[in-house]
Amino acid sequence: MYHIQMHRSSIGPLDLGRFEEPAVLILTSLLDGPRHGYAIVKDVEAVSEVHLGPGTLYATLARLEARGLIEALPADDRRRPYRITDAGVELARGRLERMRRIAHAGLARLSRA
Amino acid sequence: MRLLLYLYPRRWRRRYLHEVEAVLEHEPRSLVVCVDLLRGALDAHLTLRRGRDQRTSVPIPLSVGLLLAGGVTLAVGTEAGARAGIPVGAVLALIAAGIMLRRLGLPSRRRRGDRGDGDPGHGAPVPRKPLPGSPRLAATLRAIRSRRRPAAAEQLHEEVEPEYQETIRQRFSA
Repeated sequence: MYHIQMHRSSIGPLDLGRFEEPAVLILTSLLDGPRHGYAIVKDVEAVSEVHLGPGTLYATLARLEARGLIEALPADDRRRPYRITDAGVELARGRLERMRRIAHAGLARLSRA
Repeated sequence: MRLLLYLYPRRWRRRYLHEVEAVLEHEPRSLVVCVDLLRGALDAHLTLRRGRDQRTSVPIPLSVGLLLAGGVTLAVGTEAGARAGIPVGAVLALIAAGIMLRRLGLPSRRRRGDRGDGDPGHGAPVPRKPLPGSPRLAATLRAIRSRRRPAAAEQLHEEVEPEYQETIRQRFSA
């Protein structure tokens, strides 16, 4: 039950389901500037040590694009860069601040243990 | 591994195929990547179906409830059902399975006018392309096209203003 409540509250009005975590990772990557698919994969790997498979990557990109959180730029050869929108920046800020609160509380409790 | 991309819906491929191929060039061939692509293909199909078919109105909890009821009845009531001569559990389970399939949009027919073009990838419904000319003419054209009546088209062709005649000719030659 706790897991379900936590899951729902983290989704908020944007129901990303199992793509919630990849979405936050992709948005975080795009905060640094427009990137195409493979560049996103490499950046996410470097930052979080999570490897996004191509199926997961493009399922998440499609959802983010449909919700107006990112936008596709003109393609360069076969690679199409994506840019985060203002709405995406706001969403990323909310999610990252929430993660910081969790990390802060968890680390403080660990230090007391 | 690229062959797996052809399991994706055509609309999705039109939009993302080249990008994913570019990413796949850097991916090692592995079972993990194959499974990821298969899950992505299933997700793309389900997402597009959900976006295309908004007619289903049976809520998921009801479907699940029916399925559970059918399963329980099938499990514990087989003897009673056999005495009554009616496989109640099996019937309930079949109805529930049908509703859930319908909910997923699997057997849904294609909406008229949706030819697979438009915004791909995330299942947004594709709006119908409006016909040029007056609304009345457009409605008449649509009605005649749906019935496939060339004679009626010829008649309309002669009756309407010259500026619309070209439109009619194009519509029926398509």
